[in-house]
Formats: sequence, C-alpha cells, structure tokens
Amino acid sequence: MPHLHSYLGGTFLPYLTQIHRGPKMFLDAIVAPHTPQALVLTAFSSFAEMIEIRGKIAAHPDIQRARADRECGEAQILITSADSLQFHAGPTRRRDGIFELRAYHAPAWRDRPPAAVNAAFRRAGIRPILTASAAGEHVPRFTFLVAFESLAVRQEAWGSLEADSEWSELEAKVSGASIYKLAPYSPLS
Amino acid sequence: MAWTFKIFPAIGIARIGNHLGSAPQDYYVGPEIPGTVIVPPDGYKDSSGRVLRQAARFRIYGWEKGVFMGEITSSVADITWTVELANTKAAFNQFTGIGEPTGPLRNASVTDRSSLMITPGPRTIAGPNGAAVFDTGLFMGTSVPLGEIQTDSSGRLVVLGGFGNSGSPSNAPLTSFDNNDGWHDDVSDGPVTATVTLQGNNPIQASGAWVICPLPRFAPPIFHIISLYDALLQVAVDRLGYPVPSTPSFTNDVYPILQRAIQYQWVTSKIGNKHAPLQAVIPPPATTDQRNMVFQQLRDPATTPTVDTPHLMPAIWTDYFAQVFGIRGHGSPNTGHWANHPLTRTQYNVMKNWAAGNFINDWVGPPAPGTNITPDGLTRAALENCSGGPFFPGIESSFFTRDVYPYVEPFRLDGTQLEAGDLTKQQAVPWQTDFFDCVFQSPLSWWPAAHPDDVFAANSNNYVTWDRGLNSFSDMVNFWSGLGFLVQSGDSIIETERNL
Repeated sequence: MPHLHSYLGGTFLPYLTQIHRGPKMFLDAIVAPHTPQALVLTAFSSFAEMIEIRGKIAAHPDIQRARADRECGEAQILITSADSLQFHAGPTRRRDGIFELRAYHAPAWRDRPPAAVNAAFRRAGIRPILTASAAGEHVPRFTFLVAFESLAVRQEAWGSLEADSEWSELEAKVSGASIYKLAPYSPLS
Repeated sequence: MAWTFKIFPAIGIARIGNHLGSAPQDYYVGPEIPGTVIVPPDGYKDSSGRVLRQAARFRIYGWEKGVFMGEITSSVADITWTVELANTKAAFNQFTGIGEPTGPLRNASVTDRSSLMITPGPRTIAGPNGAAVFDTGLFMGTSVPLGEIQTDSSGRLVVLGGFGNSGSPSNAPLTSFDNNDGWHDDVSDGPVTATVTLQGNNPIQASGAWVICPLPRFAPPIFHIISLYDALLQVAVDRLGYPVPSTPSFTNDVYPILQRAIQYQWVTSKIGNKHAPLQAVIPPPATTDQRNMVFQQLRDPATTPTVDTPHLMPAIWTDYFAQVFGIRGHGSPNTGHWANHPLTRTQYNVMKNWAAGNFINDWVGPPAPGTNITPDGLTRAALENCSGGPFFPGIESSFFTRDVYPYVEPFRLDGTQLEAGDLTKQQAVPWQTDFFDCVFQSPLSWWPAAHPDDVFAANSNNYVTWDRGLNSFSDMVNFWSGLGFLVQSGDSIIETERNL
C-alpha cells in the first residue's frame, strides 16, 4: 500500500494536475469489501473530456511503468451535477474524520433521488459531498459520498435515518458501502 | 445500525515446527487464498534444518444490517482476542476405528485424568502488537508448551502452534500407531473468540472460529483428493442444506479433482504414469467414452464402506479399515481386501454429471489463484490443505469433526458445544507413530498428500522412498524434522531441504 500511495501522490496526481483542472480527491479505505484499497475521485465535464484525459494518462511513460507493477484497478463512471459536488479545498479542507461511499438500490427513485431523500438526510445530519447515479446500469443505483467527523457520528446519523419513517417510505436498499480516510496528498476533501 | 462480526477463517490451521523463534521472520503465514502454495523466502527450514512453524492468521469481518462492509482492523475498532489451546489426547478413549463406540480409555490406570490433559487455559490479547504464550500446560507433571498468540500491527490474530516435542516422562515404549500410553505430543486445538468495539458502538462478540495446530505439511503443492474443505462442504450440504450447483463447472469443479489425481504421481510410485489417461480429458469436452472410462473407476459413496469393489479410485484406504482388516476388535485378521475411500457425494455427483455430459464447459486453461483475500476464501484456503479422509484416525483432525460435531453455519463449528482439544483428541498419540505407519499398504495408499510414499529427489528421474532412513516409531519421533519438503520445480515437484 505505501507503493500505491507513492504512485498516486508522487506520479499520478502531479501529472493529472498538469492536464486536468477538475476536482480530484484521494481516499484510503479503512473498511471496504476489498482492502487494501485506494479510491480516486475525479470529475469531468463530459464523456469526451474524460476519454481525452484518460488517454493522456495512459500514454504517459512514468504512469505506464508504475501501472505495470500494480496488481489491479477498476473504474466506475458516475453521473452527477455540478451543484452536487460539495468538496472543500484550501483552508476549509476537511483533514480529519471519515468519508463513506454508500450505494443504494432504489428502483422507485427512477432517474434521480427525490427531494424527500435530501430532506431525510438533512434531518439525520447527513450531508453528501457527492450525489451521483451509476452510468450504464439498467437498474437505478445511486451513490453518495458523505463526510463524517467520526465513526461514532456516522453511526448516530445512519441510525437516525433508519428511524425516520419518511425515509422508510422511500424504499431504498443499501447495495454497498465503504469507509475511507483522506489520503494526506488529496487536494480536495 | 446493527453490526455483526465474524472471525475468518472459520477453522484455521497453525502447523507445528521445531524452529524456536517467534518473530515474523521465524514463521510463515499459511495459505489465505484458495489454490495458493506458500513457499517461505528462505525455505521451510532454518539454516540448522529445523522446520519453521506455519502460523494461522485470523481476521474480523463486519456486516452492517446484513450488508458486507469488509475487514475490521484496529484502525476502526478495539479488538480483544481470546484463544484457548489444549491437547487432551492422552485422557481420551483409545482409537479403535470409526463406526463403532469409542474404545476403552487411554492411560486407563491413571486416576488423575487431569494430569493427562495439557490445558494451559485461555489467553487474551487486545490491540495491535500483543503477545501471549501457552506455556503452563503439564503432562504428568512435565511442562509441554503448546505455542503462542500474537496480534499484528492491524490487530489481526496470529496463532503459532507447538514445537514438535513428543515424549514420555515415564519412558514408556512406543507400541502402536495410534494409542501409546504414557506419551504426549504438542499438537493442539481450541476456540478463537473476539470482542469487537467499533468506535461509537458497544462491544459485540464476533462469531467464533477454531484453530487446529497439527503436524507440518511436507507436500504443499499436492492437494488431497478429498480435502477437509470437501468433507465439511458435504457436512454443510447434508446438515445445513447448503446448495451446490446442479450443473458443475469443468474449471471449478471437475478439473480440481482430475488435477489432484494427476498430481499424486509426485507422491506415490503406485500411481506413476497410470493417471496419464486423465490428461486426455483435459481440455473438455473429451469423448463420452473417455469421460465414462474415468468415472467408472470411482467408488460410489453409496456403496457399503467395508465392501470391496472393482472401482478402486481414489486409491486410498477406507475409514473402516479396522472392520475390513479385522483388527482392533473387529473380527479376525482378514487381509487381502481393498475397500477404498470414496469421494464425497458432492464430488462424486460432479464427476457423474461430467461423465454424462452435464457440465459447463468454461475451460480457458488451468485456473489461476485469485488475488483478493476474502472471508470464505480464507476458510477454503485453510481447509483445502488438510485431509478430509480417511479418518483412521486422520491427519489434522478426526471423524468427529465430520460426523459428530455441530456447526452453526457452513464450516463454522458451534463452539458452545465443544472444548479445547476436541478436534485432535482422537488422533494418534504421539502423532509421529501414525505418521510413520501411514505409508502405502498394498494395494492402497493412506494420505500421500500428507505423507508421500515416494518422491523424486532433485536431478533424479527415479522414485525414492520419502521417509527413507526412518525405520521405527522412535525414529519418526526424533528425526521427523529431517524429512524433505516438496516444491514445484518447473513442471515437476521435487523433494528439497531433506536433512537426514
């Protein structure tokens, strides 16, 4: 894992910063189905931009060399809107706490989470910094990235949500969740 | 938000060794991914020819409201482990074979039965980088250390077993392969439990596991034709309704059975090249005649176990050897029989379906081991390296583990119904006597993946007897660590590190 962070922070991030001005976030899993694991979140304005940037990255010799030593990696494309990105940078950057990537299977929500979802989240003290839907899947699946001050706060927040009768009516089922801490070199939090 | 925690592997294997150190470089962790073979960087022995111990590493996995979350380490939780190891062989019944009531007591003349039980009691450690030793157990007043536990930097549990010390404080003779009064060894087993306090939560007891600390695995690349994983999978099917696919996969179900049979050529000259026809059915589909020719060699598990049949495969002895051979109070000596041990019913059905053409042809070449550590994979990797029969009395554990003890879920024993020492108490005491005896016994082998009959030394095309130079029970007790380990060398599997 030190090698992976050395690659991400020392090789991948500097080059990505040169060629892409969009948001970038680096996380290190502390509870996830497969560990060790690092999560890189990068936002693009379009598919075309994503493909162009990924092509440049893949062609870079330093990255090719580093990737030859990596065991595995996988990517997922999420669709979101600019107003759902609530990242912090600079002095307001969150340095402590945890981040949870949580996915819901919710056919009743159709294309996007209904307003009642955000309302229920607010009542429970849950403030996603990313709300997105999975691209290319025929059953609706929604992903939230949520920052918490601690595991204890996280527990309390999800417990409050579970106890919320209006949330229960929204018929969402957790399909996966992973908990992370911020990588020290992450530009955003 | 209710969390549940479970310990994996559900049954872990920590093998004994006579190298005395306990620092990380002094042992190696056993397989954690199915199909992998662990070869320590500097071999299985130290520079003095002493065998390194194989550690069992246990991990906690968490589910939140039924959703699998992943491994729980000390970065997010306070984890307190408790392990108890015991060796109660000498206080248990004599082994007389399975299928009958247990025999008379071992050491029947000893009235203080507790003096025969090596029971240092439980040890508890919390947090990362902890350690505790099982050094207070006694046999007839003599100290018998059984090993130790540690936690690594992530709070995972590491169990190390005993040192291969067997002895008799009363200098009793070694007279039989299984029951030797006055003797002890230092294999052991016992429960593994943990309390997990996730930050912001109350302490929760994890679903417990078990650890067995048996003899070394001298032939790591050779998998048992019937592994303990196969045997306990059948238990799960029979007792817990665990579903297995009705249509087997060639790659995942059929090929491993064929491959294990082929690999036996490296551990017994009696197989030699006789399994070459198995190569002809790989890759699939082969012809119906070819598949049937292989299948017809297999003993049907529904056949009465003491009956000789022309279906001689697998070529290993039956659980019911005592009855077949008329020994141990089972009639008169009655040699000339060959009742062999069948595949499990699930394995047999896999082969039956394959022979009938009812299988998924998913072959793209021999499957490579995975790269991810998973909860179920931890259990499978541990158990597929153990013998699943015959249990006469067996290598790592006894027929009680398969036939008697209760399970709360597949492969997970009900620890509330068992005591430390229960999984090894019916094994031979000391283990070396059975290990000495379990060589090829015409016309069948015993456990060639555990005790090879014949092997190839490096740079030789001729079989040699694996335990050459050891000529008695006492020799095995004194010199077991000089036996060679088998390793992959190109397309061959050869003997290395022999120092006898």
